[in-house]
Amino acid sequence: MASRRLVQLSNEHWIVLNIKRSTVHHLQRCCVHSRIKEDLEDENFKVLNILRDKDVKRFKWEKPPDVRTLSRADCMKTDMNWTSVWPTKAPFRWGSVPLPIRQGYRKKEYKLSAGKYGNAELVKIPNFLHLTPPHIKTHCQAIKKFCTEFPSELKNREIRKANFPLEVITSDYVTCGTSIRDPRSREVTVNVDLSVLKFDEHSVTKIKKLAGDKMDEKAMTLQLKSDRCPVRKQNFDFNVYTLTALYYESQEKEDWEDEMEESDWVKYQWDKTQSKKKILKLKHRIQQINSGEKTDLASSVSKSDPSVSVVDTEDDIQSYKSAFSNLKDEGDSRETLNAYKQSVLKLLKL
Amino acid sequence: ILIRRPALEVMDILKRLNYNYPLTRFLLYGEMNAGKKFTMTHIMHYCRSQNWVLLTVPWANEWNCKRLDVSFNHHKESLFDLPVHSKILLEDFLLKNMSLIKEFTTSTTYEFSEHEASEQGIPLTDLISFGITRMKFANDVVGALLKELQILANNDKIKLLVTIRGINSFWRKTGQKKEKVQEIHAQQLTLVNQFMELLQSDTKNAVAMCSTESWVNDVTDRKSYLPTELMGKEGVDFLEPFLPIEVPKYGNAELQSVMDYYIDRRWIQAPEAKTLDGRAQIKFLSGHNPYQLYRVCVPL
Repeated sequence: MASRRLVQLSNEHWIVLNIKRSTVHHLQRCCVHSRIKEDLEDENFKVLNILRDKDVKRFKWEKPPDVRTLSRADCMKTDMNWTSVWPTKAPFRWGSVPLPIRQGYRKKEYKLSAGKYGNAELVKIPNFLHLTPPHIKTHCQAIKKFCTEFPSELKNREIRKANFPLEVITSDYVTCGTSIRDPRSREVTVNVDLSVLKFDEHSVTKIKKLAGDKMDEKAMTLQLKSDRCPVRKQNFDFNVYTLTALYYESQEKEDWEDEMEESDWVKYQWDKTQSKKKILKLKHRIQQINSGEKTDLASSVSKSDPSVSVVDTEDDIQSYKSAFSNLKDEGDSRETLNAYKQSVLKLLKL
Repeated sequence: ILIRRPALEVMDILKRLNYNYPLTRFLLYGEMNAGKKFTMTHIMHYCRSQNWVLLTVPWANEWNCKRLDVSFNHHKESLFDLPVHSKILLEDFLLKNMSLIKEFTTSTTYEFSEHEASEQGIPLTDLISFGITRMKFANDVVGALLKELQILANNDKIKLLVTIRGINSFWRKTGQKKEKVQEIHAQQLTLVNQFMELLQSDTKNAVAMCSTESWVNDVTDRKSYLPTELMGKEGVDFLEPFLPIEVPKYGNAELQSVMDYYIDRRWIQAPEAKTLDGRAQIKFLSGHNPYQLYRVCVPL
């Protein structure tokens, strides 16, 4: 801070007071009294330096050399061995990494993220510079002498599936932190190829009903997933348990299964439905009419059960049965409906 | 002149049909606005020319709409009457079949309530007009009429054609509520029950033509047009054995003939539309759908 003032001294001389202050150098302040006396002897207008003396040599604060100009990263060659630079897991060292990384949030949009020099954020996040492809390669080379070769026959997927019907899928999670545990790694998926097991018609439908979504009917595979137990081994055992339970339950037949209702049927079974009765009755009537019997409505109702006289293995009834079951099973499309129409026409003798 | 294949199919079957057999049921199905109603009217006209008795239900979903005139049935506690609709049905029937049913008389007495009863032997027309005048008993009259028609058909006196448009409304909920609280299902309406009885009966000389319409469903639900999807399991089980007849969209020849008709009637005015190019454009825009063709030609 510098300022000029007109000051009246004690002997009524006016001098120009030119104050120059320096914030640092308190020690260098000269004594005021002695200065004034010297100047008064000359009786000239002299600038009064209260605090600072230009001639005295000041201690200059030397700037330390800029660390950023020459770090290890800048001196690295492009073909150097990275495994020797970063041998083990280590916190991020900005000086050793030759990458122009940026990390961090800036309030002003036009500013780039902060660079790597002294960036605490880069240190906080986990880095995998100790597991780069060259690292993995050296690891594998070290382990290779303990391994045998993968059998070439098993490289074919079908052979694998035929020989190993059970497929166990587990997942490991890697993180760079203080703990290597991850709760997601307890999940176990077991894919079972059911074609190696014995199933008859009843047990196939039963296991389909029991397993629900988990079973693929066409491919005959069962996919069991479990993560309900805390440990991976327990989950695997649980999956095996469900598999055994499903298999043995489907082999057994309970008494009450015979009471299954129409809405639960997997395939439409025409023989057990009301439509069979209807059709047989219709057929019976047609036969009666054709043979010229005189029947009133009343008497035909009281006649015996039509299924006795009408054989249900006849051609048109069979075709009706297949067409109708098709319609029910596969839904309606032009083809199924056309087939159904033909069978009905046949039944009505058209 | 436009004659569509499904109509010809049905008429062909009708000619060959042995009328001593029990009731045959046809089911017309097709995409929305494919022309099911048109084929039905065609067949009805044909049957009329053969002097059949027509019993028509023009739009079965009307019974399901929000109408407040529902009253309880006297005979059965659980069923609901629709007096206005029954009256409309009776009027319609009378109008169409006046000349044919003049001679017939009722065979039994029908008791409508403690005081009102119709005796045996009165002419059918009287019964119907009684139903029209006394709306309270209109639904019961409809039931009586159906029974009478069945008896007549069985005695080889008339040939009966029943047409129901939108039969898949029989198995839906109605929009009405009993005393504004409880929902009514279509199965709880007497009209529906009467018609279902008729359809299942073993009457000779009778043919039923039903159509499944996707209009019956709510606006959101209208994508399906195939019969089993629309009628549901109950419907299919009830109606079978039926003859499903598809009503397809216009073929090329049909489209050309319809456009010829429009031009002939001076409907299509713009000269560009009459050229071959214009016709191709119209064909593309309408997508072979009869209704769409109509809509496209409207501003022309």
